[in-house]
Amino acid sequence: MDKSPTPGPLPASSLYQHCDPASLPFSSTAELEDLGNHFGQDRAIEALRFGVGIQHEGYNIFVMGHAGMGKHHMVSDFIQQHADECPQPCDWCYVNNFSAPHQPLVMKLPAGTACQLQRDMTQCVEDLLITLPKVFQSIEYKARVTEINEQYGEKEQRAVSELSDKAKQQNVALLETPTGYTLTPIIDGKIATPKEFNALSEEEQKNILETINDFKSELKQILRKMPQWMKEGRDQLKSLNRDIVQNTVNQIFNELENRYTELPQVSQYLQIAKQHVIDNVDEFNVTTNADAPENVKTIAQNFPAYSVNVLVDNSQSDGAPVVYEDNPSLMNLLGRVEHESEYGTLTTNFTLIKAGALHRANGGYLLLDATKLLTNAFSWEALKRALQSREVKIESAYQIMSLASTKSLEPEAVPLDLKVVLMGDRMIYYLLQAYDPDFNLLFKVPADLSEDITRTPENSLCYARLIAAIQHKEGIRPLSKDAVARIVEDGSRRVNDAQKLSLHMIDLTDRLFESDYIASQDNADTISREHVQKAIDASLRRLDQFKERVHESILREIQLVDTEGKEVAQVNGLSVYQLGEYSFGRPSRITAKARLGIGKVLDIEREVKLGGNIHSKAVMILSSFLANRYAKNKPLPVSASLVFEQSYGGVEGDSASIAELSALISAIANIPITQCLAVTGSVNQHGQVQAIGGINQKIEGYFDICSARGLNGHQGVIMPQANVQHLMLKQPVIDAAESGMFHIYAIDTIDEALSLLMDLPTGEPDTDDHYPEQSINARVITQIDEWIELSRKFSTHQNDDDSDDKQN
Amino acid sequence: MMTVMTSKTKQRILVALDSLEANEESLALLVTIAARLKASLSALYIEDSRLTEAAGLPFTTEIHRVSAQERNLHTDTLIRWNKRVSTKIQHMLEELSSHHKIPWSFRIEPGEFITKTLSQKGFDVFFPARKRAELTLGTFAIKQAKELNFTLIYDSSPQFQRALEMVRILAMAGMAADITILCETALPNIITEQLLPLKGIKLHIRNVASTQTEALISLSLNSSSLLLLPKQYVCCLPEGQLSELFTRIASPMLLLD
Repeated sequence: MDKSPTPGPLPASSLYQHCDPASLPFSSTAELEDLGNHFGQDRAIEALRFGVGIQHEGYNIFVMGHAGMGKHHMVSDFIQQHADECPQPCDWCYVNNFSAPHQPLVMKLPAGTACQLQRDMTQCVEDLLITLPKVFQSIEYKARVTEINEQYGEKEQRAVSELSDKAKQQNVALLETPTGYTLTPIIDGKIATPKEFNALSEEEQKNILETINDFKSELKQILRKMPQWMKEGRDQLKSLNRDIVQNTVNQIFNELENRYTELPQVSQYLQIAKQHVIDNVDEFNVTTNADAPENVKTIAQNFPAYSVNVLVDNSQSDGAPVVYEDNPSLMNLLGRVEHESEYGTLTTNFTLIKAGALHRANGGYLLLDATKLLTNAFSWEALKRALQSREVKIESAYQIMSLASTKSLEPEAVPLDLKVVLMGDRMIYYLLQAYDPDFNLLFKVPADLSEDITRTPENSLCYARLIAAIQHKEGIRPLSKDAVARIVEDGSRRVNDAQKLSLHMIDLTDRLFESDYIASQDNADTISREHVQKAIDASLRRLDQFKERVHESILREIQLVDTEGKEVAQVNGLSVYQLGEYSFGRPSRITAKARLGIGKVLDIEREVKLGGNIHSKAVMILSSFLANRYAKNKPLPVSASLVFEQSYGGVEGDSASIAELSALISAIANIPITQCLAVTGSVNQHGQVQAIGGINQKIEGYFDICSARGLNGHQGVIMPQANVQHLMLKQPVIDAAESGMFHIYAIDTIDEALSLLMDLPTGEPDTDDHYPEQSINARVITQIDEWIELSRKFSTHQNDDDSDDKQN
Repeated sequence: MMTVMTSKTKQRILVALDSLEANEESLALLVTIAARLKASLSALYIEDSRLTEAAGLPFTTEIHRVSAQERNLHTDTLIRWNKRVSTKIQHMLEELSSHHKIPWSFRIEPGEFITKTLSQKGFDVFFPARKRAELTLGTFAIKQAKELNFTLIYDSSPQFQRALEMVRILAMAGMAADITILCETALPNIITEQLLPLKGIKLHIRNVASTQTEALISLSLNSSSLLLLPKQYVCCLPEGQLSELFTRIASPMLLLD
């Protein structure tokens, strides 16, 4: 174990990594060329390039990164650049399926053709509406229809008339009744009355009835032929309609067919549509002012069967489509079949099919926010289904849940060829990977965004160009090189690391906006360092009310924290409060109690379930350290307790390990600890000090309290050496350190911390494993030995008592 | 028997109706014609006496025209049917006449339809509207035109002149489309000169070998044309021919006395 001498305070230069404006080769960002927003994201860009390049199934992309990293802009820009070089995608449209209208057919057409076909079909219907009624109104047509009607009527008439003549010869009259016919006997050339009939002999009556029955049978046979005659008449009329309009319809359609000869799907559709017009030509027999163009257009709307529903029109596209769906609901994703109310009933047809994001992005790229996708019911499953089947089938939630039983459309599925780019947090990516087996098969390309980049002079310059790009894009004032330097420093502070720069684009952009606003208040042409600093201060000020309240309660001694004097078993620990995007540090009093016991350190936080697992682990580690250092070959008859005083919430993390161990050793050895210092850092079983998080906030939190009470020149913070590289402290701390009024000590071992806190050497063991007298370690061992002796005495006394009991 | 007569007018038209379905359309047409001609209209509903007698026989059945199903035909059934149809016609006549502001009357009489109609006295025009409605050929049936086609038989009778005048008035009122004149000899120019100036009229002169009743049947006149005939053309026919004429000629007939 390294037993180095008590370390001195860190120089002020170690407390902050300045960005020297002189190292920036420009006077303002106006001079700089833009830097693409891919800066620092080489890994992600490489993954994106791979993702868009590979054409195999399942190579969709998941872009991982925290909110505000500028994922959307970066991915959009990259994908758009790539898409611009891709070929123009096809148009998609739905047309009527004349043989099964509830199953509309989809057509893939060259870009710009769908709208043209739509216009052509509209014009075609208008032409038919103008031309066909004239055909129907022609004298020739009317004459032929009348002829057919009469032929049909004559058949009945002739058959009935012949029967009537035949019956008359046998003294039976065939009479028309309101709804049919009746047969009745004739006597003396007149209809027989009941009296006349009754006057006939039974034989005569019987003969008449037999004759009437025979004619009845014949009459029935004639009447039973009527449906067949009617059908023949209808067929004749249909045939007439077909014959008379065929030439006209052919002329109108021929022009269209010639235009689309190279598109077999369209040609086939036109053939079917033409035949449908011919078969249903009577629908075009509309005579109401059909000659007026405005009327024709209105009437044409009543013929949706021949219209073309353009689902996706790519006529204006230059490359592959890049679609970002902000609200990836099931309908927005898959498309929908809308309905319209007709006399209180909801009806639909293929013209009411609306495209979804998958349709619009077909042949290109679909960008989706993973959280939004997953929080929209059915959307994730629908997307997976579409990607797996490589086709989009429009289904409503009701259909998916099998709740809909009403008649609706089943549009033909649209073949799908696109890349989906999901954007979301890492947590979502790993959760999906763990719990959804389909995810790994469909999203094989992770693009992981970096949240920071190493701060080098080169990268600082790139950062300046990134700032310039934002400045140009957003139209804000240029920044002076001083201002850029301050932004660079702020970038390090944001990630709490002097060696890194934050790549959080939204935060950076916001900082620039706010600085620009401050500059505008000063009527400045350029954003200066002061403007940036004011913007930083203002943003902190907007959020630091809670910090003020906490610090105020310490200064008013509602929460007890000493910043001077010495106390046994009491030390100032440091903790960080994270409130959303804002965090601040504060000192907390940690105390320990030790007495003769059974070698157990009681973590009071854990006992009351306010301590987290990591904190409990840290306490166990320091128990182990104690046992290992001071009672390697003997019992450790110590019972100790540790507590964060006035802590009313949970305690988590191991950054208080050094403070807790120091308080515990102080309690055992009865050595006072200086209250001028606060300490943070974790410790392992060997006594080595380890790095912790939030170092800047912790130091500043303690400094604020000391500064408010008045710096006495002895105050400061003990911190892990490994955290020195993270220091980006605020200026007042640096100033105080420079003037010797506040000290930052960086340590590597627990011994260094104990020496600083107790102002005594820890002491190194000699060859007999004895520590120097009055050293901290010696005093701890002395106390432990005393407790061992006491324990032995208690044990002997107890044994004596037990023997007495047995003798008695 | 009921008579309602509101006033005496220049021309008197008789429309004879019975219980068959086509009566309502015939009535509507005649009311319109009467209004254009400023004539009065008398409707005669004839209860077919032959049917009534037949229904009195216990074995009489009716065979339905469309279904060919057989059912008993009773006198009570006929009485109910006649009452229903005649009441409906009377209401319709009242409504239409009131709308067109023409004088009208309505009577119910028993008898044989054609004989009863032709035996009526004091009318200038007779319209026997007994015509069974044609079973339409579904949606392919031609739509009813607003304009009428007229067929006239040229002869030297005053009835022809009256028919010509009647058609001219209706044509001027926009109710005539095509006018066909059947003639055995050349048509005098004076007649065509009366009709040609009429707008929207197509005049067809059709020379036929004979305009006698038998010849008319063979002409295959269609149901969309209204045939205007002198009454004496049909009055002189024996009962058998008369019945055949009304059965075989598809055109509705206006008989001018």
